[in-house]
Amino acid sequence: MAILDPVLLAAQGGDERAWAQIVRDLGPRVVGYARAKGVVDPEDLMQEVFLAAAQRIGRFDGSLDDFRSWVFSIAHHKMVDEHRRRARGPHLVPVEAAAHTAGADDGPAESLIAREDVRSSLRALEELSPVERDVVLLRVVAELDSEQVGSILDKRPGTIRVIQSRALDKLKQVVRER
Amino acid sequence: MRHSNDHQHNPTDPFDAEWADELRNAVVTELSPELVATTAHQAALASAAAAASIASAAAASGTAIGGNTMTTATATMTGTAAAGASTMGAKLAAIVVAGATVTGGLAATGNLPDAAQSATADLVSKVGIELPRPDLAGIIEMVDVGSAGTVSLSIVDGALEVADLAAVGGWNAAIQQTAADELTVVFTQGESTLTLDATVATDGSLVTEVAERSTTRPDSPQGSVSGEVDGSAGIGVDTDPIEIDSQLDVGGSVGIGLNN
Repeated sequence: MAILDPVLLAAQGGDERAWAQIVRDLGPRVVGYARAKGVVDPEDLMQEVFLAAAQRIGRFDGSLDDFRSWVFSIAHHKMVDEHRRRARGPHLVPVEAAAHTAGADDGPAESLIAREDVRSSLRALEELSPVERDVVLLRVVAELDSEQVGSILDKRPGTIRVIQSRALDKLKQVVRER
Repeated sequence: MRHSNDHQHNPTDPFDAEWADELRNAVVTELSPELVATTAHQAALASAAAAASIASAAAASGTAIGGNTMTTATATMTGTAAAGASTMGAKLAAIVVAGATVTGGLAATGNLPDAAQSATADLVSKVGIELPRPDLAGIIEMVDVGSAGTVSLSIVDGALEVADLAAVGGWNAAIQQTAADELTVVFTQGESTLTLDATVATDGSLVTEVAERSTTRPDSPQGSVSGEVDGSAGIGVDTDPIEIDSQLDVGGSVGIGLNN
């Protein structure tokens, strides 16, 4: 397989406009994934992810869909590495902190609403195990399919479907209790 | 690529429920234009550097690029100049190439700064493209001093200066300016010594020579490789007529083997 997408081809050659398009398309989701995972500085992590992708894009081979999955794979592994470095295991930033980050650029009223939305959504995620949370975030925020999520988490698509089914049951329960 | 604002509902997808939209909208927010621009700029530089590095490696191994096959002679022609070009390729030239890509091919018209133009010209000449080369006055040349570090040299008004000096961990470096147009940088690590002698030749070009010495074998000979950075890649090999067994890594493409 070879890269056929013109944007990816241009990015491979170092074209800044191509990278800007990629960052505009995927960046918000990478930041969202990191934010929901409790990364302290999600935008910083996003920059690290794209820098790593840029350094390796010469060896990348595939479609836009494959590229999206690859970028989230880099993001996921960066977060795992960060957690390992801290030697604390996976952890979430307290909901208050993540909610504050998400609404930081809005006005007071919008900020309040945004923070409440984030609080509510992240609270539901806290009911999930780390792997369930990863599956949900990669399916919902990154919009990857089960096979892509399985490849990132190093699990078979069937296993991913079992995990996501379990996660959905838990989330339905949380939503019903609201 | 799919966007958060053009998401299409799929009723058969269990992850396409209202709560999923809520979560998506809560954590996925638009990036500021400044953040997009900064991230894209960094990525463009990194990808161009990687691309140039791959091209450089391919050139050094004689791999065909774009229909042009490199000859071994071309890839290994420059001695110290090759060291400089190699270092430039990895650390500067690639970034310059990125800049040129982004800004619309300034190198093609010779409008990059001299050092950048020279590095770019060196790099692309390996794949058969000739770009204008700058005047050598004011050029900054990065010289790879074996495994000890790199030295960036500049000629300003005929005077030779060390613009930058980077020693690899464990190595110490000292500059000895013996004349306005002549200097030596000595790298030491334990009993090993690597020296870079640099001189401005009468035609204004920069001549550099890297030599390795070891105090553990007082009778061991010294080998050196020198090259003139004049764009035409002359190389001279100065040797003592004794066998040595060391190999000096000057950019990964030049080794020294001397026989009695």
